[in-house]
Amino acid sequence: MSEPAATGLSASAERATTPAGAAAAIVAFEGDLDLATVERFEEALDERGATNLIVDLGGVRFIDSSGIHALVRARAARTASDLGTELVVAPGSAVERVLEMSGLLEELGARADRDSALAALDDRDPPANGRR
Amino acid sequence: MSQAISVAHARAIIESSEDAILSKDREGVITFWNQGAERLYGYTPDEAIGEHISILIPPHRANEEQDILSTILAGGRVEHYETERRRKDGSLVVVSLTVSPIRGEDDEVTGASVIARDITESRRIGDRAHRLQRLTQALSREISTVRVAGLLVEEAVPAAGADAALVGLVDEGEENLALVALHGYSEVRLEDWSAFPVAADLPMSEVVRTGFPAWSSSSRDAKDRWPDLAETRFRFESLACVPLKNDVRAFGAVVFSFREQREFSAEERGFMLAMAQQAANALERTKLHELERRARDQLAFIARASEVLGSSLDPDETLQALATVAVPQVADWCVVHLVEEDGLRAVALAHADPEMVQRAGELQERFPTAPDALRGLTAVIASGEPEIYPEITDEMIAEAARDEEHLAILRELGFHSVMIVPLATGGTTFGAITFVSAESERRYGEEDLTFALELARHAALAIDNSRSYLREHQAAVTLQRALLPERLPETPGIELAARYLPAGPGVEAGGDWYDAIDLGDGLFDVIIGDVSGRGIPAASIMGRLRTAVHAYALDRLPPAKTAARVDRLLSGLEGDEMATMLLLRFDASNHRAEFVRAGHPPALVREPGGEVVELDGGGSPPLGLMLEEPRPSASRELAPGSTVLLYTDGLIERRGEVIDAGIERLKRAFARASHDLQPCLDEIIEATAPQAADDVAALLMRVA
Repeated sequence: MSEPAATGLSASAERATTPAGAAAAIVAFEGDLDLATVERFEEALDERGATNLIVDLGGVRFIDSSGIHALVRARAARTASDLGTELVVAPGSAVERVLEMSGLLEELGARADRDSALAALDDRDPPANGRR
Repeated sequence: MSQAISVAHARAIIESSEDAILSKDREGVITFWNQGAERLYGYTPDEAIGEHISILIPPHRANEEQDILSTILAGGRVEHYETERRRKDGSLVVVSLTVSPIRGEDDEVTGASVIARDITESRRIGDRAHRLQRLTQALSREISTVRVAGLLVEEAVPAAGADAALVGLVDEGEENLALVALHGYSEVRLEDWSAFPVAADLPMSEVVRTGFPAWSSSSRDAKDRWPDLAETRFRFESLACVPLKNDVRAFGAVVFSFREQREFSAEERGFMLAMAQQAANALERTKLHELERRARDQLAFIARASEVLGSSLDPDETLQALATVAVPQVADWCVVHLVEEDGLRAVALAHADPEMVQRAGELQERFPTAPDALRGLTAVIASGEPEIYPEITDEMIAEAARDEEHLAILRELGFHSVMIVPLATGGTTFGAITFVSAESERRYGEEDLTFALELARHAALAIDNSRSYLREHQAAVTLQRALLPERLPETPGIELAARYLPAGPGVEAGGDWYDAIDLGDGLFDVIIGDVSGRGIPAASIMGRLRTAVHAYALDRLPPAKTAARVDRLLSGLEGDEMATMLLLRFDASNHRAEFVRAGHPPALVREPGGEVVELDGGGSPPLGLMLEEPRPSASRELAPGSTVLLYTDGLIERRGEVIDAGIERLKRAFARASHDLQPCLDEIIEATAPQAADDVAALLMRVA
């Protein structure tokens, strides 16, 4: 009960184009990705629908195991539907450190910035288990 | 003779005229005086003629006669001049004067004729119309019942020529009349006569019952008609009692009291009835207004209460918050009782005055079931039916008191009106809320009860929710604990300590777990893990994982293979579960440890020298992702006296910092902690688990 008031998670979306000219959407998150906000996170991704997606976690300050699980689930579900999904995680950020410690940074194919994430969408076939 | 009437004839007409007719000379000496003048002023013609006109003029009107005289001498006329004159007996009379000049043969003014008419009565009628209008206007501005009643008595007493007046209204229980205003009864205070039965033999009660006014011209007559009047302290000769009526019935009455014996003229009766009707209209309006305002207040209150009720998962806290918002808006006191195994417990109590809260707390302690002093509490809980006591009498309090001391305390608390409503869900009453009106002297009625029931319904739902939440939380915690090892193996090669701390209420139990397995031949597995998700589902998955790991370990499957199998097991389960795990196998024969770290933070080692380092390597993604690649493991030597710390992320995770900072903090705490394992573990947790925000599991293993 004494947990600090959750600061929440906000999402903003914009359109983008890959270097090869494919359409993609970028959803950028800011705030905390945790038990309290995973629902909001999943809604924001679902709103984009069936499109190639860049999930930009550059503005996420905190991630807990629920947040990590949500990232894994989202990526698995989208990959199963043959939708390109790339993560942007700022090097040295709290999110990067947690993903690294969890052994997920490579597994999730996290990119350092949007440009490399957009480029990675073009390289998706054969299935991208992208490495930095 | 022509058609002109004779002087004698004219004189006869003048003599017998209803109006007072007189004449005076230029000096003001009275020269003629008819019968009407005698009736009006009391002087006979013999007494008046030859006297100066000033015998009729009251001192404060002296100058006026000079003005009239000047007008007449100048040949003018004065018509319908309203003024006062003095009778022979000294009393004043309101008159309308018409004064005309009398001319002599040479057309010179020789005197004046005066026609005077008594207008006391018509002046009074006009005055009443004016007062009634003023009252109506003033009433239209009032929005409270008490103010309307107060204004009525203040205005009506002088208007009716009464000496005192009071207003009584039928109360919500319909059985009593409550005095709401009185004026002019110096010997009576409102609180002495706050209420009396509609059934009583009193003028007001009778008028309310019949809807007809009652008039009594003498106290003797009044005592014959209303025997109960003898007990009252009203000492007046005559009285008029008129109903306050709406379209349906009389809902109250006004009593006008007079010191003198008197009859009431039709005109006076009409006036009092008219004033009462104006007041009745205003009272109906204010009642509507008050009802509306009350409904608005109640809606706002329910909204606020719902907010408060939703603010905590702890039933006691919830109820205390409810009691606190109820005071003083709904009650001067609010007490909430819950049924518990050993009887009723007052879980919440609020009073506007903190000192009184303490006083009542003492009362509860010394007379534990004291609230049933109000008779109904036990009954309300047994029956589930609310009770309302519009008025708590001293007899009721005396009856309920255990002893003199108890009685004294109960009296001091000053109960005035009480409502007790059940807290129930699904047909089971599990408590009650008692609302007490004391110093506010609020009198609870049916509307208040309806409101209290609504409030109790909201409260019961909130309590039920938080209780079932707590039950579920408790069940998850219990399950979690049940699935953890009951005791750790005791073997010569290693020493072990472990601890699991569930998250507090408000955070669902997580899926943190640990285990330690003696494989024989100097081999030991220690494991720590975290199943994603919360509550009972996470706890049950954790149980299955632990069983599987145990089985693979006993087969001496290498740690990396165990992790791979658990990965497949978890991927095969329904849902998309994920778990982290750190499994370390220690071989006492060569002091080597082999470990696999699937998505889990690294274990720490406190070297025999006291330095704390991470167990690097052996990392791979969490379990449940169905990795195709083999999982790596790492190995390291653990010198005798080394202590290994396995933990879950609750110990290192903090908002606003990078995870490495959390690991550094944990390292420092570990380095500082005691040598003995159990205190060492407690100190580490104490220093690093921030709050009960997440559950925590930790295990220490010391190599012999």
